[in-house]
Amino acid sequence: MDWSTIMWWVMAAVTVIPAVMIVLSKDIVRLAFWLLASLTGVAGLYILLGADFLGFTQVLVYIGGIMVLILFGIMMTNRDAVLMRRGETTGGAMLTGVVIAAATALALLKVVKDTKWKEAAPVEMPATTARVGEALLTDYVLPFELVSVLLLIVLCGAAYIARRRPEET
Amino acid sequence: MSDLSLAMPVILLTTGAIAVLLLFSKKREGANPYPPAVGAATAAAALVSLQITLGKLTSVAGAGSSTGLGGFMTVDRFGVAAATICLVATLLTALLATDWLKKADANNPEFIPVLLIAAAGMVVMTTTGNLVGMFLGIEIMSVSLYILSAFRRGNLRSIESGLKYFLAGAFASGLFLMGIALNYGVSGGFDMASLATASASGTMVSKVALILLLCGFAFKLSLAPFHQWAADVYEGAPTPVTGFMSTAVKVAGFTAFTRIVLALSGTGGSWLSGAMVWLALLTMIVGNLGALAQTSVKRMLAYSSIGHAGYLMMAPIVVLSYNAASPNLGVESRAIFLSTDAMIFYLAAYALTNLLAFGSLAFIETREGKGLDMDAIGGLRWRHPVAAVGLLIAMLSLAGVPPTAGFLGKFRLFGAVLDRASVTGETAFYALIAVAVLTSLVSLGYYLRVIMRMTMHEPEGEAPVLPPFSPAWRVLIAVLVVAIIVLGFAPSFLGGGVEGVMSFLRTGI
Amino acid sequence: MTTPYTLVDWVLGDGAGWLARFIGAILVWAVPITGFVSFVGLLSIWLERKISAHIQCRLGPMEVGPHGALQTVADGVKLLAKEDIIPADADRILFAFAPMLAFAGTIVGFAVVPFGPGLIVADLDIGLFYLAAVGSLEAIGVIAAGWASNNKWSLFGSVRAATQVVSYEIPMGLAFVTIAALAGTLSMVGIVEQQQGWIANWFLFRNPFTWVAFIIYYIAALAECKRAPFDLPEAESELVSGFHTEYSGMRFAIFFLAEYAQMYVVSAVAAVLFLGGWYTGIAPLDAAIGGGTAGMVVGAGVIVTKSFLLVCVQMWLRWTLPRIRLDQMMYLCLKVLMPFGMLTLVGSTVWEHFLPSPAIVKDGGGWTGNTVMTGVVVAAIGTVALVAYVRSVIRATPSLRAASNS
Repeated sequence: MDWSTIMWWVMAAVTVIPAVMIVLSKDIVRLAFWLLASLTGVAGLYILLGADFLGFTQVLVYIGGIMVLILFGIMMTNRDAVLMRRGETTGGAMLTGVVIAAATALALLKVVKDTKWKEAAPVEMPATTARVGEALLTDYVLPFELVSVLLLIVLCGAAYIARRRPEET
Repeated sequence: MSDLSLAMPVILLTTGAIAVLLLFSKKREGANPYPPAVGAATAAAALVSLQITLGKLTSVAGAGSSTGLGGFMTVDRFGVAAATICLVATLLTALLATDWLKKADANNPEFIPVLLIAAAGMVVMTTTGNLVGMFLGIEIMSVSLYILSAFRRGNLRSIESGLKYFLAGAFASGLFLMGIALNYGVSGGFDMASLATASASGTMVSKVALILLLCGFAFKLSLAPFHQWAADVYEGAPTPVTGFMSTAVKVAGFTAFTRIVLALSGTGGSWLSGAMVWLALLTMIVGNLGALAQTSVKRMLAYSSIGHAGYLMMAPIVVLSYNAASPNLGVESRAIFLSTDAMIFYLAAYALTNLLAFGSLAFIETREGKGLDMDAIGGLRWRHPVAAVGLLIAMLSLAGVPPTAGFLGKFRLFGAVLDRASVTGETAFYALIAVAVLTSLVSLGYYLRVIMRMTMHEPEGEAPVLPPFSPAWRVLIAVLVVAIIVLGFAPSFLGGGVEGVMSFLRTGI
Repeated sequence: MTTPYTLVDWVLGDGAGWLARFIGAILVWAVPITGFVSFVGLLSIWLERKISAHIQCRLGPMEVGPHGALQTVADGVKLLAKEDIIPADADRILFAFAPMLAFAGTIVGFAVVPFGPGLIVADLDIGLFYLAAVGSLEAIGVIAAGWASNNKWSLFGSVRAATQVVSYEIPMGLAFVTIAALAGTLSMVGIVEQQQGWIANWFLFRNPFTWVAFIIYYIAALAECKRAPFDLPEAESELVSGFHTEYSGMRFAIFFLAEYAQMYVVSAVAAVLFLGGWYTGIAPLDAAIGGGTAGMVVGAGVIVTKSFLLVCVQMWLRWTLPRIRLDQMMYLCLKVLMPFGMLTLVGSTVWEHFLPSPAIVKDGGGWTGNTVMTGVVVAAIGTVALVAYVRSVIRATPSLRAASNS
């Protein structure tokens, strides 16, 4: 086993084990921290695949931004005992979940094994950042700009809906 | 033609939206008549630029489409025709909403920018030849519509509508994105050709990808059984927004979906048509039977729009049945030509009709301040003759009564399917025709009920004191009524933009 | 990615196995950096006490060691010996985990901070982006601490930390992008090497907009470090001690260390981006020192000195400026730093486009027309700002206003 294979297994474990813990955890803050670990693992996998830019974008966006905001949101919420009890999982629901998960996993396994995926030749990966930047400003300039339009409208909508109504001020 | 000019409508719409945001964001208080006019002007400018693009396109000999911006813009007459309908719908919505926007809880300058951005998303959806571009278009359009649905922030129903739409839409987007990802895994590409490659490979994953894409579209187009959100969302959203949602979204969605189906046709993707046939049949039945049971006009129109989505779904099914191995390719191409052409015409007729219906309803709602249940329109004929005429023509056209555009739309669409049925002899097509005709008959029941209420029932309680009519609004309703009737008589009125849209398409994609 | 020639290669030679390289990296980098962080902590805390004391006309610690230099060591021993208290209703696991998370979040930043020519853990070609990415990791530790303590003051502190760090990442990123656009690279070593030669080559003096970028970066960095005037997350006067109210002993010390380590990191990054990194700014001197071991030693001295000077500026600011309110903090970020950051980015690129000055970099320096112009513009803006400031002070002070009117 070489270095990258070992790191792959490590990162896969860092991704999957916290993912399982997310499902099993009952405390929503703990859950958020497990999610953090899982996302870190995904970032590691990206980097192992040679997509260093993507990997650190994952860190920047998900861990630095989204996770902080999720935690922020959780801290704004109330601990409502009644609601929390309502959210508890019953044995039947658990069983159904396990059965569905197992079925999905089997189906996925079969599909993944049967499919002939399009494979890229294993090449020594050159640095991606410059190429990503160039692609974003040439071939992918339209989607790049469309994403900014999308973000603009999301921002505008969030501000509109969250803004105080005149009668509230 | 330079690459940038292909994206000019999108650029214009976005610029207009940002300009309105910057210019009018400070004006919170008081009536503010400028944004609708600015919005309409922007939409009109985008429309003109679209037509200029089309003009340039057709002036190049032999060129059916023009691809640019890294393949993300594929402007052809099919896309331009659909985008034109979307932009006309945007224009009309901006104008029809003028009255409503003066109401206290809607008097916000954000309406027009969000509407324009939604239109930009639709233009991208209709004119892109790339799944990523399509996804971005769908997202831009959907996010704008979530905001528009919840636009009356003080109104619980409106907020509920926005939230429901958001949840259903986010789920659909997830499915769509997963489909794109799996397709990329098989074919290594995002363009329409990659779909054909994946489909031709016939692997399990490519099938899963297509099913996910189909489900994503089914959500967005409110096809049964993915339609549950539609009634609540349409009812809760502000009435002008509902009009916009029920028309422009369908145009953009069906165009994008047909583009995907066009790429698949003749590549072994025909197994998908089984699922599509069931979707179409179920949607027709659920939509039309559901509409019968409604007491709210808006909710009834929501179910009616589900039913219409079912009829429209027949066009992609015909397209998918293209058989590349057939000895008579002329017949096969004719099927695609007829069905997509009929679809575009149907969409145009439906867009005008539904905008007329919701424009009239929005007027009644704004003026009388009551809800939109069946009682609210009782005796409308005496109170608001103009609105009553608008609603009457709209109902007749939706029901498909001649001589309206709706009739001709149904005639051509059903005719295209019948033509295909006679060529292939498949029972599925006959079943589609039979159900479509029967459900159309059923639909007469609820459309005529609206007309009956308007003309034969006395209004309940005292007639309210009415503010004066706005002349601009009356002109608008009159124009729509005339357009629907003229289209019913003379479909070529729409000109080359729609007629013969598809003649090049087999070579064009 | 080509593996740069680093200390690990130098120690182990080529052809070492991955396990050897892994352990080598730990020995050569992780252990000394942790030691360095402790040293930085000790030195900074002593400096902070002395600087604050002298700003307030006091002497500060004088008893333990010469001028109290060993006071921090004594305090460290005290903290180590303290009882480790975990509040009864705290989330015990997160409570224990939070300081580690904060410390780890800070220390990963050292991976791309150069200590001198060749003295860098990994010269990633996305170094700057990496820094932006890991910059907010410490905040997660702070949030965890605030939540786990089960104390309302702690929670307030961590919510404030989250707001602040997420917001100020954006102006900081804009300042990064301004420099990255000038340098044409994201590699920290690459950025430093572009500033070789005379002091005029430092990115700070490259064009008038980089001045603004530097100021924006420094303000945002203060906020990311949660240092005054942005110390709302710990605001002693309102929140007892903010997110680390419930912490004591070694866990508290680790938070403290993380804060000072982050101060050093942001200062070192400022030195790299704007102040010529390990170059002295005097072209003949750099040439005389040359590369090799001498270059490494002098370079390390130069960059650490620059960084510590900037750390001292942070302390100076802390003891000079009052804490700002939460709404002022958001106002400053969203309505001042962000628009200015965008203007800076656009302005800097436009300036470079119309006034190209590649000669500066290639010739090894000199005072060119561009430098003069930059100086003139900066001086003009500075004069205007100074005049405006003085006028506003006069206007705000009744006695001065009366004097200027008479």
